[in-house]
Amino acid sequence: MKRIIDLRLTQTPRLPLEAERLRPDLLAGMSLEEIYALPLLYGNQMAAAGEFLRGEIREMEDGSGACLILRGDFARVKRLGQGMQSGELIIEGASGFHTGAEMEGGRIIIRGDAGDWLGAHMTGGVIQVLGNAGHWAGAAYRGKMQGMRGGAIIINGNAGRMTGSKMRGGLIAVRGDCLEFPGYCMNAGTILVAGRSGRHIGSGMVRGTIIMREGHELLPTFYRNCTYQPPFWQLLRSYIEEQGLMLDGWDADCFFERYSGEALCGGKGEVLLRHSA
Amino acid sequence: MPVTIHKDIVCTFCGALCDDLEMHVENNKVIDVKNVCGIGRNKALHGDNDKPECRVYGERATLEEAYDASARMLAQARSPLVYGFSSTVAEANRVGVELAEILRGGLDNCSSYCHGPGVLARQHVGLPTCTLGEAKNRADLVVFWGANPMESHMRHFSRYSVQAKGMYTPLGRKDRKMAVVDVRPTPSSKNADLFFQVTPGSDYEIATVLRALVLEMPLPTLTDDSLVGGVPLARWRELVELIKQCKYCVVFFGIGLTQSQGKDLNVEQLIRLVSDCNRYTRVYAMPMRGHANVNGNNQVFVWQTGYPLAISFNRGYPRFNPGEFSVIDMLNRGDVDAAIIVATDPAAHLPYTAVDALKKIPTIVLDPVNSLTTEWANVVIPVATSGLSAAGTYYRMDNVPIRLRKIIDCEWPTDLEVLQNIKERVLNAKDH
Repeated sequence: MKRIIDLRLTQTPRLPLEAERLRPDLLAGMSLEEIYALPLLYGNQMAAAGEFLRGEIREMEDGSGACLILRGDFARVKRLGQGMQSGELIIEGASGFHTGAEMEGGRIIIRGDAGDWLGAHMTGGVIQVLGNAGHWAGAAYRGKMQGMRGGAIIINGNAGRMTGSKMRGGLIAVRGDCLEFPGYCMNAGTILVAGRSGRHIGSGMVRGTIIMREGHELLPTFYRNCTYQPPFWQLLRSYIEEQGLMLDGWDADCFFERYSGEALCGGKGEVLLRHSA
Repeated sequence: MPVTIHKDIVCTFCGALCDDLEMHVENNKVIDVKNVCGIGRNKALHGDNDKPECRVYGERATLEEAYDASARMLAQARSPLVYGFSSTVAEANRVGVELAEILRGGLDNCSSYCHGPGVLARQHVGLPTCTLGEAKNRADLVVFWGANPMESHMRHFSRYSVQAKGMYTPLGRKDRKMAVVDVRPTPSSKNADLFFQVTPGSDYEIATVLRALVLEMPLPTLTDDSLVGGVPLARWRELVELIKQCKYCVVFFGIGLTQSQGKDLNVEQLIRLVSDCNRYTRVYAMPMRGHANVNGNNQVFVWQTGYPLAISFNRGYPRFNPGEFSVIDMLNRGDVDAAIIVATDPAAHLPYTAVDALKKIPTIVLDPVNSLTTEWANVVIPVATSGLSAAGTYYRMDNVPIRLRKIIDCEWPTDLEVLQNIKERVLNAKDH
């Protein structure tokens, strides 16, 4: 039995609404009345979720677990799905800051654009964005040394600055472009950007893998190693395709120029630039 | 009336806080100032003259009425902002933090759009730094990166850095080398022994290459003629050699570094470079703070809340996230529904979109002089001028606290008194 909680945003919040309680695993056992009574931080006071949301709960024979569907423009709503451990969260519109931050499991699908700090510090689960993502996707908050540690963020559109900054594990795949400093100070994990990237790719990276297409200029502290076919590429590519991201021109048998860096930070990171055929 | 001469007065224009001014006061008015730069002189002579009217919604009001109106606006707000403080004393900053906490509002200062990135970088990688006294007495090499003190900190050269005669630099300029890194020739660069005119936005790349040169790491893709930030690599080698050979170097960095592409990451890389250079000789870095007490804002905010800028109390405890809680971003997104502005002029400093957002919400401003913001703010409260008619503490750019004295009387209260009055009324309104 699968429980579907289908909620619609009845009014766009005038001020930011912090809705970390809106996550499928927490709402799974609640009635609609209980959901409407949930306190959400609205400005500096609490407001009942029912002031902004209306909807229904359906039961489906097929499947199991909980699925929370949020319909409307949630760009002013922060922390949706923060810390969720299981279930499915589908946002039929844009989502605000910190969506899926500290997430441990489950799946989030955002059909619009996602705000900044998408999946920051996440340790598991999958976030799929059909629009664009903001800055600091999968990154660490200020003062923290490790960002995303596991799971996957799949972005169909573009990503902002500092994508995967200080990430420690997991995968970020961007079909479009990203802005400056992808993989800044990353410790481990994989970032793939299929489009163009802003400058300073992987600056300060200690370990981890950044995959880009050819033609990107790296900092002089990245050293070219060889041209090769990494053994993991086919696995990575098929995983990304399983998550619904089709990469045109990124064949299973393509070659990569391998650069190691950043030399100032030990040089154990790698940047793979797809070799032109 | 006799002329009273006050010596060792602190100038409150820039972060250099020159404390050797001589002010001549006659009939409760500053009539002459000595040992001061052009801007400091203007501020001292006219800083207490052009007082705004005390107004509430455009109508002349008493102070009590203005306090009541301010407290009402702030207490009713659901997302108020307490912002500014760059030109007022640390004691007023402290009450500002209290007010933000009581209001459960946002709290930010002007460093959010000037040297804030430098503060964030310092949190990440630390800062090997010294005092301006050490720079004066010991530094035989000074580097200005993205800073033009000849126009922004006019007495910096003569009091602290390039020309100052110190214990180990008795000949002043002759005992020192000077290098400037900037995107265009400036009056400061004309004095430099080495000037590097760099491509805008290339600071991070330059600092990275300099680190590699200092650490003698291979740079296989570059030759001596390769341009790094628009300057040949050979010239950067020259700078590195100069640093390695000097006895004591101070790198002063300005807004050219903190507000160009990369922001805090530029400063992080510069600080790492400075740390690396300490393998060879003593090298320190220091931000060229702009407004006189903007460093004091960071100091007070940190010891009160744990964070230097971009703070939110909306959960009852301080949270910090530049980009989310910083003043320009909050205003641009419309996240604020009332604002109290202390000792700054947002209409002159902020982007017009942020100013438009301020104009749409109840805005209270405390200012010692008429400004672009006092023209339209809903509540305008005139205050005494810090360093002239109000005493208190300012923090110099090297984190040294300096006491300001009151030398003339003013009919209006200080920022501290106004904030305390508003705080009391907000407490009563919120029935704490």
